[in-house]
Amino acid sequence: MYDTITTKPQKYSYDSISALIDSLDDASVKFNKDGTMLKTGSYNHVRLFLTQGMLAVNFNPNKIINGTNEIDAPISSLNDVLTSLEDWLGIDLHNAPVSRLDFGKTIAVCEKPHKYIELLAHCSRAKKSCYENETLVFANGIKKIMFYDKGLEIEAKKIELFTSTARSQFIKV
Amino acid sequence: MKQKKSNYLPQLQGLNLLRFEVQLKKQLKQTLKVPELTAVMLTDPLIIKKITTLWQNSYLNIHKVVRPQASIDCSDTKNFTMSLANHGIEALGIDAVLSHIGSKSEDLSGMQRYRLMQKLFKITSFKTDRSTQVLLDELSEKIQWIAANAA
Repeated sequence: MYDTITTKPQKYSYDSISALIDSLDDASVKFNKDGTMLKTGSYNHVRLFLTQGMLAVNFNPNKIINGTNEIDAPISSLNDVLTSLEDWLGIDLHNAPVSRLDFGKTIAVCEKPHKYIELLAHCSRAKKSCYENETLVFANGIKKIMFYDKGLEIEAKKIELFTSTARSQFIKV
Repeated sequence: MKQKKSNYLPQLQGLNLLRFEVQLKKQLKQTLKVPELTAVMLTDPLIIKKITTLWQNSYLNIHKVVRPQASIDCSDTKNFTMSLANHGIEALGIDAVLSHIGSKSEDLSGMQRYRLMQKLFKITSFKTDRSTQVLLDELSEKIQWIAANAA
């Protein structure tokens, strides 16, 4: 059921988390508009965001356990995910406040998903956006509701994978 | 012959997959009506129940549009008018009608807009096409089942 979860642990060592991010392959540093430095890095479906005053740990339990969110891991396995993240980061995550929570489910339906999507017309106090009749979003400042064709996303990933493989082969040549 | 590679998990092969997600980015505690929300609380059955109810309600609160019945109801004047109005909305497209109401937001009070929307959804739910109603019933049943069995 859970998709992306973002927690903001209160107690952590800036230096040790900073060193950990530096060791990640995709570590990067950006500067916010107010001049503060933002370090980010990800590993195995976990993304870390670090500034002088804040650490955010963004992760998807299903992707950590199954490598995909197409099938759900049991909710009880979230405890194991938190424990393994705590071991990796060396901080308490169980009691960290949650600042963002995505939850959803992939539903096997009888007809093509766009046939259901086009029947969803309006949601009070939310702005509707529809992309090519395949992704529907109702959003306001607090909540975002999304419907999309998961099969198309899987196919798109295949194309992306193919393109990146082709690109790396091209570079090798 | 070499088999075509697939990104689908074997159990999902050949299925039509609709993803329904809700993202909470702000005011999580207020939305879930809890004094605090920590990571470990996400395994608490009470919190799971609140989240699945919120997920299900997010779907239920969406106004659905089903296509009008092919035949026009001539049984009485009211039904005849509603039937024609429903076909009119279908021809214009619900999004165009909603957008038209939205564009008049400066001329209309909140209450007037609300009444127009209520009227619109009353018309679009009048004598609807069975095949589209079947799709909505199927989705509602599946969402209800998932919410009831989430924990």
